[in-house]
Amino acid sequence: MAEHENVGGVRRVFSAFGGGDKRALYEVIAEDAVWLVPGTVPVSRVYRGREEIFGLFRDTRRLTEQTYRSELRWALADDEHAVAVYRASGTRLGRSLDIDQVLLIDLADGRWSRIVAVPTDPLAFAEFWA
Amino acid sequence: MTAHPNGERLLGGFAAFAAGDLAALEALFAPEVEWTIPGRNRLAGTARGLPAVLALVRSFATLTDGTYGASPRWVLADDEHAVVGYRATGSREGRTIDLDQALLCRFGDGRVVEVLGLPTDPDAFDAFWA
Repeated sequence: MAEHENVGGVRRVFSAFGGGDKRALYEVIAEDAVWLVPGTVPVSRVYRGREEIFGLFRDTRRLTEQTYRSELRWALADDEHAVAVYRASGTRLGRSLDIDQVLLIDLADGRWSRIVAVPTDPLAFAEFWA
Repeated sequence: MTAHPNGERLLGGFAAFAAGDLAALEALFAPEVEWTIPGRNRLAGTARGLPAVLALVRSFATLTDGTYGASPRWVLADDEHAVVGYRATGSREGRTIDLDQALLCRFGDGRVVEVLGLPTDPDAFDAFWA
C-alpha cells in the first residue's frame, strides 16, 4: 500500500528536526497551528502559531545544550489525522531522557493544525524537564 | 478512505467493550498481549498476558460503577500498527473524567500484541484513576 502523503509530511518534519531541510517545517506546520505540551513542567503550555512553536523547538535544544534528539520510529496518517511515535533523547542538568513520545496531529488543508505532544512515560518526562 | 483491517479490528474492540462482549474482545488479542498504562495511578503498569489484560479492561468498568465510556473519534492503521483517538468519560468516587485519549496498538498475525494507553492530559488521568 502506498504511503499516505501526510506520513511523508511527518517524515519530512522529523528529517528537519535532525538537521535536514528546514523548509519542511514551514510547508507542513500551518502558520496558525496550535501545539500543546501537557503537564506542569516549564515547557508545558499551549504554543499558538508557528513562531511560538518554533520557539519551543529552540528551547528544547537550548535547555539540553543541543543534545536533544527526536528520532521517528513510526507514523500513520490519513487526510485528517496523523500519529508520530518517536524516541526523544537528550541530557540536561546531569539528567538524561530516553523515552518514546507521541505526536497526535489534526490536519486541515494538508497541514498540521493542532498537535498534542504526549510522553509515553510522563514521570520520566516531568523529571527531565523540571 | 477505506479503513485498514487492523483499524476495523480495533474499532470492533471498542464496540465489544461498549456492549460488554468480553468474548469478542478476547478474540482481538494475542495470548501474549501486553497492555501498558503510564503515569502514577492505580492502573499504571504493564498487564502481561491475555488474562491480565482482560482483567484490566474489566476494571475500567468495575472501578467506575459501569460509567466508563470510550467513544472512538478517529482511527489510523497499517499492517503493523493501529491508533484510535477516543473520548474517555466516566465518574468514580465523586470525580469525573472527560478526556481525549489514544490507544496505540501493535499487531502480529492479525491480533493485538501490544497496547499503550495514552491520555492527552496525564495529570487529569492520574487524578481520576488515583
